[in-house]
This record gives sequence, structure tokens and C-alpha cells, in this order.
Amino acid sequence: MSENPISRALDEAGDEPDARAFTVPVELVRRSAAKRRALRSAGAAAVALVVVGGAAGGVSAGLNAWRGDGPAGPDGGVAADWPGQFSRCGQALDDVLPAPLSSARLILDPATVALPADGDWEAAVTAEVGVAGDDLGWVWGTDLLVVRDGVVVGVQDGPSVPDVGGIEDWLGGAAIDRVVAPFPLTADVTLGLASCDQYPDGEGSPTLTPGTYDLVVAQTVSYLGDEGQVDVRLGTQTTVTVTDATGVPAPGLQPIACGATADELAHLASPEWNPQAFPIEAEVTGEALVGQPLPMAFSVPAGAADFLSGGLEILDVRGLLTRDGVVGGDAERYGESGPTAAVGVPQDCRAREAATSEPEGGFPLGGGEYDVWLVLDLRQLNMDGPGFRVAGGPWPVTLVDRPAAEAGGSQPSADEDDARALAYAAAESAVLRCEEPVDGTAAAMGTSTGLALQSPAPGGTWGWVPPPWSGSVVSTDGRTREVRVQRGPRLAVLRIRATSRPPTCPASSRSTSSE
Amino acid sequence: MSRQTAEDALETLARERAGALFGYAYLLSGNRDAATDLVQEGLVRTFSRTRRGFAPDDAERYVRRAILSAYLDGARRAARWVRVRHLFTSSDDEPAAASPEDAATAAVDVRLALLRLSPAERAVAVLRYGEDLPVAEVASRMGLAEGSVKRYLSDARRKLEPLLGPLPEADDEPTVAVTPRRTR
Repeated sequence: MSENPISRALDEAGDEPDARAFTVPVELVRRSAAKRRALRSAGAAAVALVVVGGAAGGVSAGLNAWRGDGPAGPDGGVAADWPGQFSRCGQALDDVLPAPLSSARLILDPATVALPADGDWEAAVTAEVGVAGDDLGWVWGTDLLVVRDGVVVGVQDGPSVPDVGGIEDWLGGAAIDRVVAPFPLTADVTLGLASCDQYPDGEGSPTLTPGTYDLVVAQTVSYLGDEGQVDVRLGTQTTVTVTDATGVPAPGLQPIACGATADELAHLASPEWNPQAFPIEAEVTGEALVGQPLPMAFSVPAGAADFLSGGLEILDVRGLLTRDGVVGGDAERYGESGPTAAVGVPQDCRAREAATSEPEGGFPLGGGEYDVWLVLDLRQLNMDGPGFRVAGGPWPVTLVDRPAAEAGGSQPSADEDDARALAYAAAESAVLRCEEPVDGTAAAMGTSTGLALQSPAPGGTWGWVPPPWSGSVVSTDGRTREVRVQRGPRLAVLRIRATSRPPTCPASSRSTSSE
Repeated sequence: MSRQTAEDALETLARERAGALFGYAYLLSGNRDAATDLVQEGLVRTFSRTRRGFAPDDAERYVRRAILSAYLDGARRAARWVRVRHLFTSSDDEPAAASPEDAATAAVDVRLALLRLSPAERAVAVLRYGEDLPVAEVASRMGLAEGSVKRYLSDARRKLEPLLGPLPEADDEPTVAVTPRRTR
């Protein structure tokens, strides 16, 4: 039953003239689907044929076995349609793990340690075979085997194709089966995992049951030795945790522990760890009262902001306080969206950890000198998986103990916190929507009057600063947003600078409000 | 419900549900040509993966999900262009006017209104309001956290209601556009 205009439109859409005139090109769909299916299932076998033709020795035979078209299962007609990697379903680990070679090894760094059942396992897989650095070699492809209790229960969901680094695109779509490069050979691997439960009759689940599995990663690498082509089969074993498809947070993105060293944060902030290069900028005014929000907000530079807002979502933002190189406090983010944000009141991280475990480090957040870091958990939009973590900092900050008279004042500090928190959120939103004029007006909400930060767009309320605070939104040049909140002699100026200026952002707008 | 072979399911969809699939894709994309491509891509994605066939209703459900995925994939690719296109032109920022042959139907009004939304907001609005899916299911289909869906939904409703009138408010949808998170 149609309950709203969009529902009605969806009901009507199929009867519109365009829709009635539309016909499915059945034959084209059928051919395209068959071609795509064939590419998926035959890709690995095609590579194997090349190796068999040019290689010597038993490795090629072994490779062929790994990459076969798939065995004839109980239902031969069905099994023949299965990609070759499923042929290893049900085999014992000892039968599928390549024999260890003293001079060769496979290195996974970094590699996914946890993923949703329908997500991708990603890793940089480096093959070293103990030959001179100027020798050239190539990787035929990477295979994944999910093992539990010594038996293969899952395989990679896709052919074991070589990583050709986008060269095919440069060559106009030409098929490339190998890329020759000096050792060590590193391949970027992104593969889903498929359960063997569905093999060979297609009746079982295609996804792995949540849990922790052994994961065997294997590659066949070739190089030209003194006596011709040499093929080496490499393998390594690790573990992987499969969560349900809703993306339960992975261990890799658990909160940084109380008492962790700043070295870990420095690593996350380093350009080596953050090759996407979205450096994090922050404005820190230097001092904050103990128990108050940190006087800082973060943003990312223009190009990076475009990348963030277009391609990534921010899962979490956290401010961490370190002293003498040790994490002692953290602060959550205020606000929910966008490439800018502010962080709130830093808490002694031991209090948070005590709820779930025995804290192993940390210290009370009294007055004193600290370093503050920002840690961002990010994930590509519309992608599954735990995402990844980067950091910025450190920036120095001084926490000042609240004067006794103020601490014992007539009003609870929660009001101040609320006002500042809401102002932070409003300032953040003002940046995000700076293509719209900014307005700050006194408005009634319920029975009280306070500062509403409001867009002229319908329904565009951004935030609310409750009485008895008053304040204003100031826009100086279209790039800067300030929210000022005041109560008696206390004035908090919260400023966030937009790092990119949308083309329709007003050159200047200013408005004020009062109680 | 009996299963059909993949071939039969494709034939049935093409014969009986082509218009509905096109309408769904058209509402998502707001563009006839894009809708045609989306339906075709959705069918290819679905029928290149199946080996066992479908129950008829399942087939359409799979294709709709594939259309949604194809639409979101395309939107991600387009995002970079959107961010620089103002450097080249300003005229295509505005939603295209309805063509003369378009009847003044609710679908046309809604399609024009939806063009004012970002791709993610549009997809959320169609799934939540059009298909009446709960937020959790929308999040699952789009691969987003529920909080992200609620945010998109709130933004979409704020933009659509002045044009389309009141939309149902989900019980779990935020009631204001910005809700600061309390840390204490």
C-alpha cells in the first residue's frame, strides 16, 4: 500500500511511458553474464597453462593441481562449473600447504586480521626466494585457503590472478598474465573468502561461519635462473577472524589501550603508515580547564577533504592525551559527520577500560603539560570491513586545574559542557554547510530561550545552545566559522576553519543574537 | 515456491518485470539512460553468479540489490567529478527539467525532488520510504552503519519535505539534523 509520495512514485514508476517502453535485451544480458562467469572461473586455469608450457620440474605439476579446473564432484555437471580453487575443499592442511623452503618466504605486511563474512581479505604479500636483488621474477597469483581443524573449509572467492598494478588499463585493456619485477616481489591482494559449504551442489551457505580460522596464503613465483625458468611454491600461515556480515568492529580497530606508548601513535601518524596522504591539521589554543572539552578541532587539507567526503566515511574520531610518552586520557568526538570535528572532555582512560578489563596503564588527568593526538578510524564508503586507522599530532596542550571558587560555583559545570559541546557541534555543521548562508538567531525551544544556530533552508537547524548562554555565529571570509557562546563574563570562542571553499560559499555573512 | 532455472528466471523477469525494474532504477538515478544501463548491469551481475536458478520473487530481489550496488558503485566513481565540475560548468548542477512528454505524475515530481539529494541520500530515501525497509535492512543493503543511514535519512527528509510534504518519520531516526554526542 502506498503511504507516501516516494512509495507511490515507486508503485507508479513501472507504468510510466518510459518504463512501459523499456525492454530487457535478454540475449545481450545472457551473453554478458556467461562471459563474466567464464572470466571468473577460467582466469586461473589460463595462467596455469602458461606455466606448464614454459616451466620444468615438479612445481609445475603441483601448480597445475592447485589451479585445476575443479574435480568432478558427486554432481559432475555442477562441479565442472566451479572455479578451480574449490577443488581443494575438504583437503587436509598438510596436503595443500607448500613444503617449506629454507631460502624462500612469504611476508604479509600489512594483512587483514578480521573481516566480515562478505568482506575482502587484503594484504601486501611479499615473496622472497633468496636470489640476488637484481634478478627478475613474477608472481602467478595468490591463493587463500581457510582451514579449521586441519581441513580446508573455505577458499578465495575469485580466481588467483596476478597483481598487474593497473597496467592492463594503460595498455587499453590488453590481457596481462604476469608482470616481471626485481625481487622482492610484492603483490597487493584483495580477495573475498568463500565457504566450501556450498561445494559442490550449491546448496550450502556461500559465506563462512563467524569465528577464527587458520589462513594459508600461497603463491607461485617464477624467475629465470642459470638453467632456465625456476618455479617456486611459497606459503605461509596466519589466522583470520570472520565476523558476521554486519561488520562487527575488528580487533585492529579496538581502542588504543590506556598506557600505550606514544610510539604507536607516532607510527599511525607517520607518512609511511598513511600513504594516502591526508595529513590531519588541528587548531589547538593551548589551554583547557580540567574537565572541559579540549580547545581544538581538526580538519584535513582541501584535496584530502574532497577525498574523505567523497570516498571515505569516518567511523570514529578520538583525541588521546599522552604525558611522558604514555597514553593517559581520551576524548570522544562531538558531532557525527564530515571531514571536520571537535573533541570533547578528555577522560581518564582507566575509567573506560575498567568497565571491561583491568587497566594496565594511564594516569589521572590533573593540571599539567600534555601532548594531544587525534586518531581517526576510516572506511571506504559502501565497503565492508573494519576500515583503517590514521593519526595526527602531537600538539601540546596544557590542562589547568579549575580554580576552587569556580569549581564550587552555583551552577554545575555540566551546563557549561553542554553549551560548549553544542557550540562545537554547531560550528562543525556550519563548516559542513558553508555553501548556505549562516544565521544565528535567538529562538524559543519549548519554554526556554537560547541560541539556535539555524540555516535558512527548511528544517535547517544545526544546533542549540541552551540558556542561560547566549552567542553568535560569525563568518568572516567564507572560509572561517566561529561560534561564540557567552555566559556572564565567560566567553568561549570556538573556531573552525574550512579548508576548502565550495564555489557557492558566501563571501561574507555575519549575524548575531542575544539572550 | 518452485525454483526456476536461471534462464527461465531471466526470461520471466524480462517479460513481466522489466518496467518495474526500470522504474526502480530510474527513481534511483533520475536519468533514463542510466536506468537502462543499471537494469542491464543488475541483470548481468545477478545471472553471472547463479548456477542454480531462483524462485521467481528471489530473482527480482537479487536484481534490485544488484541495481542498487551498481548505482552506488557509479556514484562513488562520479564523486570525484562532482567535486571539480564547478570548474568547468555550472549549468548541470541543477536538476534537469521534466521533458515535455513527461506526464505530471507523482513519479516525475518525486524524481525531480530526489535529484536534489546526494546519491547516498537518494538511495536511502528510496529504500526507506519507497520500499519501506527498516533502517537496519537499508544499512545492510548499502554496507553502511545504521548511524550513517539515519544521518542520510534525516538529511534527505529535511530536503524532501518542503517539496513533497511530510514523510513518515522512522522511530529510530534522529529528530534534529545535528545531535551532539555526549561524552559523560
